[in-house]
Amino acid sequence: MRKLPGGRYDVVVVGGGVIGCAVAYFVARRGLKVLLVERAGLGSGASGANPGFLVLSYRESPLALQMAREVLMRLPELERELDIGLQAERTGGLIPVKNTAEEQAVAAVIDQAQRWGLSSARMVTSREAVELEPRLDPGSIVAAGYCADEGRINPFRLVYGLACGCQRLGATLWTHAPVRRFHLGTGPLRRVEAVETEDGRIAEAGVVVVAAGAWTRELVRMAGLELAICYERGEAMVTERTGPLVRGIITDGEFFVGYRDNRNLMRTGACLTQTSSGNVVVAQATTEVDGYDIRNTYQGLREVAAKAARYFPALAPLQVIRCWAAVTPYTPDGQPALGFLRDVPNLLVAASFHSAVGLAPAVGQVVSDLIVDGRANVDLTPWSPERLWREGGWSGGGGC
Amino acid sequence: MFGLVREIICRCEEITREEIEEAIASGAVTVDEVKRVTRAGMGFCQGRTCWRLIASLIANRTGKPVGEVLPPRPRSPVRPLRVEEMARGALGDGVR
Repeated sequence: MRKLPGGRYDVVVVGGGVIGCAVAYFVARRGLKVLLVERAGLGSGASGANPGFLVLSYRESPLALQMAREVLMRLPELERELDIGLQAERTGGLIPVKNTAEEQAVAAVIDQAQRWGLSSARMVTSREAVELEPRLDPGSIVAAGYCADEGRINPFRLVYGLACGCQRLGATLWTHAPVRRFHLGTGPLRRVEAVETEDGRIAEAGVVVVAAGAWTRELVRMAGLELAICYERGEAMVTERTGPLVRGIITDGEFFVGYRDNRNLMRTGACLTQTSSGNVVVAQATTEVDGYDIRNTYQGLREVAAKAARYFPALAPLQVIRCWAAVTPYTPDGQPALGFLRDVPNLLVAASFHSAVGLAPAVGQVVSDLIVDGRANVDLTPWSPERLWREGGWSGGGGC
Repeated sequence: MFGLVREIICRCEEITREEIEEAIASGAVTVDEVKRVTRAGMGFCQGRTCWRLIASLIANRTGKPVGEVLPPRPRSPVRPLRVEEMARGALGDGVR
C-alpha cells in the first residue's frame, strides 16, 4: 500500500460539506494551519442536496435558535468577507396546516419559538397566509405558522464561498480523498495522531474534526468509539424555471404531527421554495435508511408532488427536471452532536444539525473557539457527544 | 467583434466556457463539481447536451483521459415530467 507524507496540520477537518467548510474557514481565520479532507466533491452530500432554508421558527432548541439568528444577522458581513454572492434573502417562512391536529402541533411549535425569544413567529389565518403567499390555494389550508425573519440561501454558494475563503487564508483542501483510517496513539488516552486517506496520504493532526454528515458514525468508529447516530434519506425534486410562484420557504405542517413515532414508515410532506434562478425546489419524503442509500422512490416523489400541487395548484403543469436524495444523520434526542470526545481527546464531532446551512457559520465560529481558546461563549452541554455513547450501537427509533 | 462573442457551453443555463474553465481552475475535477459551482447542466436538458463538452474541458485542464473524468450522476426523470403527471395516483385521486 502506497504511503505518502501529507504534511502536519494544527487541525484536520474531515468533511467538505457546509459544516466542515465553515469549521475550516473559521479555524483558518484564527491563524491555524488547516487541512480539509473530503471523500468526493465539496458539498456532494446533504449540503448540496437541500433547499437552503434559513429556518428559525422550528429550531429544536433555544441554542439552535440563538445560533440561527446570529447567522442571519451576520450573513451580510460573511458575504463581504467571502467575496461571493450567497443569494441570501429574507423571504419569510410559512408552515401551512390542513386540519386541527396539524394546527395544534404547529401552534405549539410557534408558541415555543416565542417563549425562546422569537417574537416574529406567529400563527396566521388562511386569508393572511394567502396575502403572504398569493399563489397558495386558500381552500387547501385552515391556518399557517409564519415567521417574517426566515429566508433562504444558495447552499452551493455558501459551501464554495467558505471553501475558497479558507484556501485564501492558507488552508489546504484534499477532495476525492476518502479517509481510510486514523492513526491512533497508544496509552490510556488514544489521540488521533494522523489521518490516512485512501490514496495513501498521511496528514499529522493536532486536532481532528469529524464534520461528515452521513459518514460521521463510521468515521468515529475508526477511532474506536460508537455513537448513537442513525441515518435517514430525504428525497426532493426541482422544476423548470418559472415566473414568481413561491415567495418564501414553505414547510408542510404535516411534518409536525406524529413526528418519528413510526420509524418504518415513509413520511412525506410539501416543503418548497423558489430559487433565485426561478426553479421551484420541492421536498421531501423521509425514510430511515441503514446505509448510504440515495435512491429515489416513486412512492415518495409521487406523494410529495401531489401534496405540493394541492397547496400551489400552479405547480401542476410545470416540468420536473431533476430528482435526488440525500442522507442525513439524526440522534435519539434530535439534537446535534458538537464537542470533543472524552476518550479520544483531540477528536471533535460536529454533525447531525437540522437545516445545517442556517447554522454552519455559527458552528464554525464555536468550533474554532473550542479549539483555539478551549471554550465557547455558549453552553454546549446539551449537544455534547458524550450523551450519544452507546455500547453496541443504536438501531434508531425509540425516543426520537 | 468576434473576440467579444461568449462561447456558451451549457445552453440551458447560458454558462460560458470561461466560467467552466474558471471552476476547473479552482479545483473542480468532475462534471458534478463543475455543475455545483457554475450551474452548467442544471437546466432543462440536465446536461444531456453539455456534459461531454465539460468532461473534455476537465480532461484538457487536468491531463486525464476524457474517459477517466467522472460523468454526472444519472438522475431521474429520464425526460422532464409534469408535476401533475408525477402526482397521478397519489392521495387517492386520479388514475392509479
